[in-house]
Amino acid sequence: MTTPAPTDAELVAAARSGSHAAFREIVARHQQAVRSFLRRVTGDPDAADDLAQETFLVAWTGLWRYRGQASLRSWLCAIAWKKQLSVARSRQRESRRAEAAEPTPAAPQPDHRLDLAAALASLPDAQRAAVALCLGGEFTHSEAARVLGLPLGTIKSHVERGRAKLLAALGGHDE
Amino acid sequence: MSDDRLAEFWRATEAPGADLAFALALEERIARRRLQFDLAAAVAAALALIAPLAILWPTLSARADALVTSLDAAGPALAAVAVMGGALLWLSQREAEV
Repeated sequence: MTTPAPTDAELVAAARSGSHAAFREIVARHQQAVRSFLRRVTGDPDAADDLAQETFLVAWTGLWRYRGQASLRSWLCAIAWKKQLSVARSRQRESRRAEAAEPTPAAPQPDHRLDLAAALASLPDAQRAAVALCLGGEFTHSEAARVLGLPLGTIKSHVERGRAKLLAALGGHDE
Repeated sequence: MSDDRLAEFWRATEAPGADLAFALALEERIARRRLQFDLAAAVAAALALIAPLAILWPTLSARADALVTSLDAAGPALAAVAVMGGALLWLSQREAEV
């Protein structure tokens, strides 16, 4: 007879009381979901892994803030999403500054035969994140709403529109 | 067909289920952060000790000076007592020997 694996709540409780092994188990259990989400949102595996590590570092120092209202996976992805937003904002500021200093030629217009990665990258931030969570990561709409801090209806419409755009990029029809 | 290609895309962008390199890199970051916390705690503890000392230093210094001055005044008397005490001790030991 084998002992059942500890639940996320048990692992969180153990990690809060100082068990590094419990935190390691939390990382092992959820790194795939967090990293996959970030890879799809950023389109850059290295940047995604770096953000994922930052996410777990924030979780390590702030585990006391987790109240158990959402799943641990959703809580971690919400941290990851906030990190990604802040990185994206600072990149935007930098690029605006660079453009002001030296005007660069306009970016080439997207081709009609964009591959899926490019199509995903072309979606607005929140829509891309909703698609990455619900279509790529098998999150429910409510979970995605919690992660992204958006109303459920907005998530549903983001996912629907995002999916249609991806299928359009593939040259298919959304039925 | 399109859905299959979409599913294939999601599979291709999926992070591995187990990744030792990622786990080790994270461990290293956590160890570094812990060291920073420990250093910050040590500095805070040192400041907690030093700050009151620095604030009280003028008072403490004045007290120390006063103590030294009073010891200076009492110095010859203390020396005389010490000499007399030593002499009495020596005499009592000699009597015991005799």
